[in-house]
Amino acid sequence: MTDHAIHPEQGVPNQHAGGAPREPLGEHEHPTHDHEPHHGGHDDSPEAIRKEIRRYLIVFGALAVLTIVTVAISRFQLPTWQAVTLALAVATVKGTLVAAFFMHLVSERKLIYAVLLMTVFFFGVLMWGPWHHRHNADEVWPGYDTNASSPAPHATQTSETHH
Amino acid sequence: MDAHAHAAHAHEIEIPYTVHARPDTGVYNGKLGIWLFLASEVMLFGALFSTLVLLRTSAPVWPHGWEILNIPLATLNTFVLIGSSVTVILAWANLRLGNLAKGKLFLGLTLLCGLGFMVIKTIEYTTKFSHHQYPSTNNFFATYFVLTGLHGLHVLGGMVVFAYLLLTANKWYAEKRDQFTNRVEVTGLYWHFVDLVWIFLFPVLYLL
Amino acid sequence: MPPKRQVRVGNQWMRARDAQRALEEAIRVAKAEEVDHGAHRQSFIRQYVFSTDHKWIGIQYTITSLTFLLIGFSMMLLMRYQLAWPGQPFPGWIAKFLGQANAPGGVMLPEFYNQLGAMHGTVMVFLAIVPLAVGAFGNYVVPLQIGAPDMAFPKLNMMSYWLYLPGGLLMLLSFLAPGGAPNSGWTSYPPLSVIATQGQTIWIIGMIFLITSSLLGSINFIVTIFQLRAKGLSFMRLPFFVWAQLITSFLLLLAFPPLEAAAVLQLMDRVAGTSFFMPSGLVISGEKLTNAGGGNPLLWQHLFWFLAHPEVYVLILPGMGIIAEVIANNTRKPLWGYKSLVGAGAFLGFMSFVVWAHHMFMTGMGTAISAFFQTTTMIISIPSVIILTALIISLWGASIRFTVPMLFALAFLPMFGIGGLTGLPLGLAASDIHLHDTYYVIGHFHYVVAPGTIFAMFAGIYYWFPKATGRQMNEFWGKVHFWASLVFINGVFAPMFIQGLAGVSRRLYDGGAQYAHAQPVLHTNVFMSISAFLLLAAQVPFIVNFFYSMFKGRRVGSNVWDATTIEWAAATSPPLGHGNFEVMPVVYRGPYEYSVPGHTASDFFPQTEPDDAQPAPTGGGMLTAAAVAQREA
Repeated sequence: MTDHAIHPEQGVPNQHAGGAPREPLGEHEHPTHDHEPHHGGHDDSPEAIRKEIRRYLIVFGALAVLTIVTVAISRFQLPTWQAVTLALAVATVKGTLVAAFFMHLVSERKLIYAVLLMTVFFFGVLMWGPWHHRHNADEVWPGYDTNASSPAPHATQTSETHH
Repeated sequence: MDAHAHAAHAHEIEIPYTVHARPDTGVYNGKLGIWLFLASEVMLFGALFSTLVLLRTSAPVWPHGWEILNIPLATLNTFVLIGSSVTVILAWANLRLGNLAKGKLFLGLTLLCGLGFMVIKTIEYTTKFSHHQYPSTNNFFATYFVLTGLHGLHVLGGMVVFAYLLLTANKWYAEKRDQFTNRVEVTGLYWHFVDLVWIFLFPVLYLL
Repeated sequence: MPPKRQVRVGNQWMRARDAQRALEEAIRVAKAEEVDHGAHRQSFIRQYVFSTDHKWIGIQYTITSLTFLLIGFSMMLLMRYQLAWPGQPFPGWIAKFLGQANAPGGVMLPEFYNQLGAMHGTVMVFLAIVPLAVGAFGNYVVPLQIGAPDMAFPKLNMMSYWLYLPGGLLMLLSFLAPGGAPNSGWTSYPPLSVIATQGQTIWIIGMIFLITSSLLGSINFIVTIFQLRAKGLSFMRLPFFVWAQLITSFLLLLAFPPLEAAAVLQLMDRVAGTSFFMPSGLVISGEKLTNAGGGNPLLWQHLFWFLAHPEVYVLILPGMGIIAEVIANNTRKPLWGYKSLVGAGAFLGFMSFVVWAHHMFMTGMGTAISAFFQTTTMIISIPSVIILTALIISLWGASIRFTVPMLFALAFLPMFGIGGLTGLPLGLAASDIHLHDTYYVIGHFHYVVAPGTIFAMFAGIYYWFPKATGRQMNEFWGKVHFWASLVFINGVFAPMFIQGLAGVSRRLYDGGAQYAHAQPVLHTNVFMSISAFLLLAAQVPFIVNFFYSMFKGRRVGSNVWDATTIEWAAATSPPLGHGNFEVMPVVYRGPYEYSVPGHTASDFFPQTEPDDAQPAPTGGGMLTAAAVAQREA
């Protein structure tokens, strides 16, 4: 048996990208970011940094205002559902501001986005799983899961939340 | 959080891309490292938030945070923490501008803000204890103490790193300016995340 | 039949290669001397205790985790003795070792049996297999295989090990705590675990150490693989083992934190009197608990399995990676379907996050959520089948070298197949209701982990031993170890399916002796236990071989297996000191270029070797007509 005979078609080896020369993928093949070589995505010219600083201060102002807004909303003592929605909405806006500008996610690398996207998905799964379990199980055994001695009065009102 | 703090320094061998970004990924090691760490932190706090949601939605009675907790103090703490997020990023910006003195000033301010946050937190805790409100009192207090306690530990961890950065700033800035600037950036990323967690903790625990 | 490596007889090449080898050897000797000198400069502690060299850390992990493997195995042997001969006293010195508190008169107490059960699982999963698969093999092999001088964060790497070791020792010390070791099973389900003896607190603290260690390690691996790949080593040129480690690291990174959170909550329940997992109105031994109540024990199960199901793939993926390396090397041809393997591995990792509640069908989750998790569980079996199929087809038409690592790899395929296929009935709620918590489950996951993962680990040890030591393990005793292990390990686990189908529950102190429905299958207990003792005997040749070969084994060249990947092709055996490579390797092709048509120098074409007689690429970057013709010949 020769070596040729046992070589599977899958790898007519060494052929990458239609017979292009197989030079190592050197650094020169990647688009380098000449204007921002040091900090992975930041323009380091003094004018740009001063502009950034102004932007950070504006974001700080926005966060301060939103903090006051969210405290003010809580004073109205809205019904739970509306209060939760509003408070989480404001918190999400604030969180987005921090992530986008302070953590400079507005101009981050694809690799970081990929990691975070994956994390956000699994975070969603983690939040959904136990919660869904509870609501689903309530339909089977109303009020079964927490208070054997005092079944939750609202347990059967919150119905299916998942499609 | 100090994935970065351990980035290869003082080694006989040189680890590539410790300081400068690798062209094809566009990031340096410490930055990817801290983001991965933050991803795991998202899952850690995710599990705790999941716990809170589950316990709260299944409880027959759940007190409103604003009935029991001290909102003015917590609002003040929110400002302190948001302020520290700004100072840490200003420290980084100034280091990039080549202004070590201002960079150190803002690092110091960040450390002070962290300290202020912890002091206010301690006042809150001691008031609760003096009213005989402990984690074991009920599940509201259990989640309150665990969530804010774990968050407080993160603040403390950040403060340790800031103190270390301040103490070593002159030496590092003179010898390896870029690397030191990166360290401040990476620690800053961690610090913003701690701030971000608080931004969600504050309404969820205090205002609802 | 011509000799196998006939292609090498081209004389001119032979001479060129000889010359190259001589040169390589000279460099190695020179470098070794240099390293020796270096050793004098570095203190003993920095070099051997708190080392930051990934190779030494890998060896630390190897020795430590193999020790824990043996400890976990010994715990199982104690249990098997009790299961085969319930109530019989242990022979003299063992009875003495266990002591009067655990085994009065040499007879094991039920409480002690519970401790052994919980600790066997904990030790095997968290202290033996994961550290061996990831900490040991990952640390030693990954940087070498991607052509990196070390891990991205060497000090962090050192810290990972130094969190793992105390965490592990703490776990073992829990046997000395009042009430003994943790006894609520390796899953530590509340409310039982919250009211359990002090050992459980130690378990939680130990887990926090281990989780932190794993987290730091996984960050390090991901950054290393993304950032430190050699020039030319694109993702589709990575050996499958590196892919497996990368996916594993992501699983550890994102699945472990919820367990860390859950561990903190359980610690609070135990120490601070909170009620995260404690429902209202619990009555223990006739007394009402004083906890505030209102907690949810199922929350623990969710958070625990959110980790522990991805953990299953943490256990198996690195094993699959090792098997892929060994199979490609010993079939002397490329892996079949490299891209499918990578794709299936990534999909497997992704899906492993959305199947966890199939461990909880019996909790009454409701039909909708059960249906969801049944569906995802069936879906996740597809990538596993793709991986196994690709590995089996890789054997097709090969002239296989039956080396010791290859024997273990070949055994892995059907063993993992049995483990995987027996999992399907457990993934469907209807059949799971019958099989849940029986010995069938034990048989299922042990087939995946014992003759599956552990055989893969053995394959890896025999395969990379020459790389780490410059010496080869004895082939004959390796084969004895393999055949004996294969026979006896099946003797231990195959009868468990029979017992499980008969309805015998797991975690029974007497192996089912008091149950009528267990009587027809009770005799298999003795068979399984004797097989387990013989399995221990089968490890003796391995242990002796391992240490003997370290000092007295046959010296071999740098690339003893004629392999293509960087760690063999571009590094000496053992590799240079800290830094790994004299010159940073450059990669020219994929990882499995064996028996390349037209490459006449040898039947393998290392990743780091420039192309044969490749004319310098001209302007347009096209291959010359001659080169194309040669390749197609």
